[in-house]
Amino acid sequence: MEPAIRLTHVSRRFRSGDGELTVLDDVSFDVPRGELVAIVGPSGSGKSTLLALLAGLDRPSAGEVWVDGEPLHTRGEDALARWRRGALGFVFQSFQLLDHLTARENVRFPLELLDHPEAGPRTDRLLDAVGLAGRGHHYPRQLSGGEQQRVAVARAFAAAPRVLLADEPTGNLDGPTGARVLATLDTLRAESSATVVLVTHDAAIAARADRRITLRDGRVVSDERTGASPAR
Amino acid sequence: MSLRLFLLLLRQELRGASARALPFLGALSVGVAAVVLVAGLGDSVSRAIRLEARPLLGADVAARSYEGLPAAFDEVPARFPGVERVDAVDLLTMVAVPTAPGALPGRSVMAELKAVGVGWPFYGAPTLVPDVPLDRLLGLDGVVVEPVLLERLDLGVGDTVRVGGADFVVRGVVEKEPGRLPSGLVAGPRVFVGLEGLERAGIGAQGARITRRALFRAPDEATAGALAAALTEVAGAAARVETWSDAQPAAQRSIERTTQWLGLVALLSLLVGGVGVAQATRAWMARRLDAIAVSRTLGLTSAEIARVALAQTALLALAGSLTGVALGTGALTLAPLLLEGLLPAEAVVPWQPAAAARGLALGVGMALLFAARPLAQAAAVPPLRVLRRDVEPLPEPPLRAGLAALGLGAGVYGLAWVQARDPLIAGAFVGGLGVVAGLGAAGAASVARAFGAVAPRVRGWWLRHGLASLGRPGAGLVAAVVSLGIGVVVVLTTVLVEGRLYAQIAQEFPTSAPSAFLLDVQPDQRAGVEALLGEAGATRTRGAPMVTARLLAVDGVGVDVLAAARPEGERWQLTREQRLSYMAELPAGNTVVEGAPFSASVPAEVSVEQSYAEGLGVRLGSVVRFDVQGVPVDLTVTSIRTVSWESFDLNFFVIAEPGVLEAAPQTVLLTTQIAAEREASVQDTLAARFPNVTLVSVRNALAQARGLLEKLGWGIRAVGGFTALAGVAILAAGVAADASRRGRQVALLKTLGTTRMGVVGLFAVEYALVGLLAGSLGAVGALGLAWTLVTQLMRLAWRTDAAVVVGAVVGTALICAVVGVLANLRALVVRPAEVLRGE
Repeated sequence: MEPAIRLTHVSRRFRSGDGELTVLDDVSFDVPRGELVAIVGPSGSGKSTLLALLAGLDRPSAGEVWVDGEPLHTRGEDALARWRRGALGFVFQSFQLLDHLTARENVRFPLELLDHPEAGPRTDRLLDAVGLAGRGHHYPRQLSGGEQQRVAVARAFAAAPRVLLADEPTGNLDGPTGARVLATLDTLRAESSATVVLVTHDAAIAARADRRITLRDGRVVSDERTGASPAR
Repeated sequence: MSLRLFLLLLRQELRGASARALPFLGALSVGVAAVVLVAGLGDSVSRAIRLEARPLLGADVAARSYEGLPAAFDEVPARFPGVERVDAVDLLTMVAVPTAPGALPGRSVMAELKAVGVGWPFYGAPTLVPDVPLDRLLGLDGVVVEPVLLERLDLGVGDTVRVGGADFVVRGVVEKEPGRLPSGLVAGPRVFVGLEGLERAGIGAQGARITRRALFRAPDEATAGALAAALTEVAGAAARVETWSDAQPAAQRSIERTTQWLGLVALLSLLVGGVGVAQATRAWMARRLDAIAVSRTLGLTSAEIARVALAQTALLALAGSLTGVALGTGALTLAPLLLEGLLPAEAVVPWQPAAAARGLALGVGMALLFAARPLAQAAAVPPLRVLRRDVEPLPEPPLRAGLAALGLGAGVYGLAWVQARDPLIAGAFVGGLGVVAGLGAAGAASVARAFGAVAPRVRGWWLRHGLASLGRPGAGLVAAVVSLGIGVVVVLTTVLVEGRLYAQIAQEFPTSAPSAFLLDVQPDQRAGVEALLGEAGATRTRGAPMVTARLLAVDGVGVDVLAAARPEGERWQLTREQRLSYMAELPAGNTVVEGAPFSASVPAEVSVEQSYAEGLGVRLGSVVRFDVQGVPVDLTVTSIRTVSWESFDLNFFVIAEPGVLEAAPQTVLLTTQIAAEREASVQDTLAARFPNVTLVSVRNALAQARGLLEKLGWGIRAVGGFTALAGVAILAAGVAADASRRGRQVALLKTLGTTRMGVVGLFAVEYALVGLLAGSLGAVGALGLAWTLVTQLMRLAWRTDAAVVVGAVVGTALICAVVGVLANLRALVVRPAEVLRGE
């Protein structure tokens, strides 16, 4: 079966002052469908750049990025935006809820973009699943950090994406709150069978993944099964 | 994007718009209000004139002449069946309370006398009390007068007044006369008399201030046109023929020009409003960058985001423009109060769909024009910003930035064209504005840099902090300073020019100048009038003969040929009635610049004033032929001279040498100085003894001119004030846009131990500096503009009114300080912990 994600010889270089800075250097790996992969590595190792490439928010300087069968490296910005609507979910470290929308409207937003026929009931189900059924009418600023992140998780799964990317999803949260967000993520992932790529600093979180890819100076230095759970 | 999704996104976006709505709406509505006010005023006056044109003329076709209507006019109408004619005569004369022979003269007042034939007017009859046809009230010995005349003479209906050499009974009052200008603009109250009555009074025979009119009513438009053409043909230069549709073209033109000029001042406030819109939009978009990046990550394209943002801006622009229309309409309802006496109250129609539509269109257009670029820039923010906070919208490539600036300039030019209705004026306006704004921006930017550079060396931490804040890059100083500065230029220029005009006609009136002119003194009355003035203690009485004439030819070329070669507006110089004098010595204050006057060798010499000579196209040696009441007279130009008109002394454009014009019918023009308290009694005595003589009080004329100037000044200042107000609104918008940065700054300052009053002082100093800078730049601009207008256009002496200039600069600084502190109130009351926790 075709993998959910395939990177072949991907490099990303930035101009920096007079010279060039190589942030990713000849990275190649596949992620089979349904797998939970943790990307770890020290600051500046290229984790966020890798995530940006997987989301089609950035383009590789060389190599190919295939996500869900889509050659992202060949697509234009608008085509990528439309592709993201149905194919991709994203959870950010700083939640990134739309602050002029209520929690419910935030979750519903991706469904509106797809003109989803069941937008209302699906939004209700997701809010219920993340334990915020009663707080849908609150604006982001009226919610705690953990609650905001659970709304963000619900939003990321709203359009039933095949691939979900998460950038330090618990980075801004304390231990217990972070654990609750991770539990929510697990629940929804189990229901959706989405492929998940998760960037984290936290070894404990990485340990929950099926597989751990370690980056250093833009290169993959290790790619190992964690043994936490067998690949599906 | 489906329509449903578009509307949903638009609705959601509008929910977050309230924060930016206020500065946006404020800046835009003030500018739109100015446009609506000016367009409404102009339309009101023009419409009043159009509606009243026929009543104003009182006929379908009218002919007027200063020396008598051609006899041929009696035959022409007979060729057109159904045409009727009625005559009227206008003149200025004294009306007095008659007293017994030998008694003290009764009170008198200068009046605008109108003698009318039976059936006058064909259109627009005056409102009379009692409500009886005018000719029946007048009869042979009756007059109908304006109520103010009865007040001034302390008389009532049924009393007797003396007009010229005859007594008349006041048979009624005229309450309203169509087309008559408000009292502030006329020489005296109206008095109606019959044509036979005028003859009985004996004052319609000669004199310089008589206008004779023949009014015609035609059965249809075509006949009216043909009649007017036939009359024009026989009239030649002796009379001017008008149809009702071209009555008052001069008034119409001057109103159009005033409206055009004020319209551009209004456009200036709208432009300043546009800058405010751009600023509010940029500030709003800066706060929305994260949300835009998230939306793009979730799958919206930048075009979709731009479309929604543009629609939202259009709705806000519509709301702001509607608010402005309401404000402008409100101001229009107040206009009659402000312009009382200048504009008939009934002429102002507050609700004017055309003016409202103009304001709405210009407002929305201006807002979209100025908002488009910040919107497009923000919509292009890379979605990558969701991962890297420091990712800002990509800088525009220079070509695109240049094209955008060009587009903005073209758009502003288009709006200026719409507003001025003239591509050339619009071009001059945009070009001039570009230069002013460019210089202002360069000045503001270099001062800001200087502030930043000197700040560390300044003692006093408030001032140091204020200077440093302004010197900080991206402080938005330049836009605020330029907008405010333009407002200061408009208001201060108006005040300065008005002040110079006011000073010229009031304070700097030379003490040697005459206080009164006496018109229509017959040569045989001169000694008697001068004796009368001497008895009343008048001094510096001077006189000169005055002969009325009409130009026939210059160097053998007929005046009709010369006139036809000129634009219509300049023909009057050739065709109007000319007033000639003769004397052996040129009056004091005249300087010969070419040739020499009155040698023995040349017969019939004449000396001509320089600008007048230019107007006629006359040089040294030219022979000018005048028609002196039927007799052609050739005069040779042997000198050209300049005249210092400021002396207000007796002066003439054309002065002949003695021995040429003595035999012509003539009057004497006298000037004299009379003490203010004796003027009324002199006037009364003159009216009793020399009823044909008219005394024109320079004091009254000056007071009238001052009043007019004050009202016009108010109008211009009101519109200019809108520009300044829009500048202040922009300042407030800029401050509000900066609120979150301010909040952090205040929190830090408080944490470091600054009291709330200390922070207020700090902000006050900072914004006062903005005002000081804007005020100073504006003052420099205003001084330059006012100096140019006063010395080059009006040719008056310049004096800098330092108090006004300093007042404007200090005032701007104070207003800015107050607005700055008020707009920052929220940042001031927030507790430091709340802000710092959110960091």
